[in-house]
Amino acid sequence: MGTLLSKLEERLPLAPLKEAALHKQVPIHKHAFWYYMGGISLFFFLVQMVTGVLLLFHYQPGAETAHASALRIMTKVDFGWLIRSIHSWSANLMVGAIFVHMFSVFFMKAYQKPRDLTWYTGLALLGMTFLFGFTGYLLPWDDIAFFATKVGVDVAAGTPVIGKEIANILRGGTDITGLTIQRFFALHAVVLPGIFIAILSLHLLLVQIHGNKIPEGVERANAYRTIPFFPNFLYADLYVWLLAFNVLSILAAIYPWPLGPEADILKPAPQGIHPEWYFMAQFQLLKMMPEPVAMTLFGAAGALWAIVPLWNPATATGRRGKLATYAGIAAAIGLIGLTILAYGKL
Amino acid sequence: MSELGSTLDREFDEQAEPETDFMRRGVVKWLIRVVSGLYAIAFIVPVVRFLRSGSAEEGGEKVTQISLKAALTLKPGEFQMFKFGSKPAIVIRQGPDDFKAYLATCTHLGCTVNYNPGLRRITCACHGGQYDPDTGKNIAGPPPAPLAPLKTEVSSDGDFIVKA
Ligand code: HEM
Ligand code: FES
Repeated sequence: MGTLLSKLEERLPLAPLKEAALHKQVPIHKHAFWYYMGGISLFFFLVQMVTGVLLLFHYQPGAETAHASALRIMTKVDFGWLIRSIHSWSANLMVGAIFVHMFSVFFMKAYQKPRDLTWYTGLALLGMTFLFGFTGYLLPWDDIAFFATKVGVDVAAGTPVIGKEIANILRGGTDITGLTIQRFFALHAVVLPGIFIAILSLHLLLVQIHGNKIPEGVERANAYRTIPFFPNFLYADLYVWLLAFNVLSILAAIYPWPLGPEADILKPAPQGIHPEWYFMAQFQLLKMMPEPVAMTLFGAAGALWAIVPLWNPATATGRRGKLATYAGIAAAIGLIGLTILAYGKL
Repeated sequence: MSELGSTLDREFDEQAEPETDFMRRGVVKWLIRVVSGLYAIAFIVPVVRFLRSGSAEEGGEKVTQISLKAALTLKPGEFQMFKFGSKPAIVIRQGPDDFKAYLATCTHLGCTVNYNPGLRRITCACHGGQYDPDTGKNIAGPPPAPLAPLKTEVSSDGDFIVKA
């Protein structure tokens, strides 16, 4: 082992990297718990890569084979139900972890320069996670998958100017057919992973360069100490990953992900149909008001949220920060409120 | 582009000859832009056209009329789902000679609608849209427009015909 490392060191400039890794420090204070959320999101993505590649060995896209192969995975393939259940549960937990991660960096104001680039790459990762969820959802080709895709693509079609074109390219025509499954499959298992991994690498590199943001109050009161990243924080991180893994395994094993009846274009949408929890707020808005109004409202709020580094830049005193804090609280209450309302009206 | 441009600038600068050089530089820069643009078009057009080609191109012909004999066996108040070309559609028998047919695609966000005989409404489970079965008019919930109507008739030889 030692000889392998020294052989590499003779050939590559590893010394500065080693130096940096040994000197990296992580701040510890009363809000430091939130620093784990990005790592947890990363963990669930790694689970998605592993289980996704496993599913590739049995899943068959195509109008005739998609549902049949998902059913085979559930009933015939040894532990197929478990792999599929982990992939579905981890998808949900990944979205949840990224949400918590995003809100925590928002409240710590970690989006301010020089970390604004990190914020934008993180938003791109969240958007791509939604796309992963949306494209993956169609693949088992059950009734709910079919209507979720209908509604989702129709919402996309409402985008001014390019919406219709994008919807037709996604569907491969004006109807949802086997060609749609094929295209969603290509996006889900080839295109998105490639782009996601590239942006994720950039995101992690930026995090390494800037280090953890210490919240203003903590910094001013000097109420923190630091610990070495290696090995102290890394061990703590791995410990949290183990916890996340246990939670995921228990959920996936006790509540295996269901598979509905095969999509049938002649069957009306089933009663009580609704999207996954992370789209429930939009779902509720779509029920309450005309679609263009709902989507404009959501789009405008999302855009304001995305450009927070512009309207709440770092100041010497940190005084204007209050506005962003209230906006964050309002966003959280709005999303949670709409979601509760949506579940209440099912 | 700009990096290439500035490299060219430097090379021209070294060779001096002020006035002609100035003109040559402008022309070369302009040429590079045009050629890059042509390459971009040669790349983008085939890719976009490739992606845009969908299943609609296959077969080509659009369905405008189908025969649906089974509808004649419906009792008043009953309905049936059927395929009109590639689209789902619904026919409701209101009375002995009174049939109503519509494309079953909700005008809100595209879910397939259902008929609720108790309510006497065409309903959509996705966001709670409702339509009047007599006219197809959107009467409750978020749908912004009526259902697309289809014409029905019983032909002289006793067949049931649905037309766009
Ligand atoms: C390298 C990455 C990935 C690969 C190769 C992959 C592959 C697959 C495959 C083959 C399926 C179809 C199997 C089935 O439907 O049972 C699937 C379904 C799915 N995927 Fe992924 N996936 C990846 C990443 C992700 C990520 C990051 C998400 C996160 C949101 C995700 C969410 C889903 C969902 C929600 C389904 C539907 C599950 C179901 O109901 O069966 N996938 N994926
Ligand atoms: S799709 Fe029918 S009410 Fe929304």
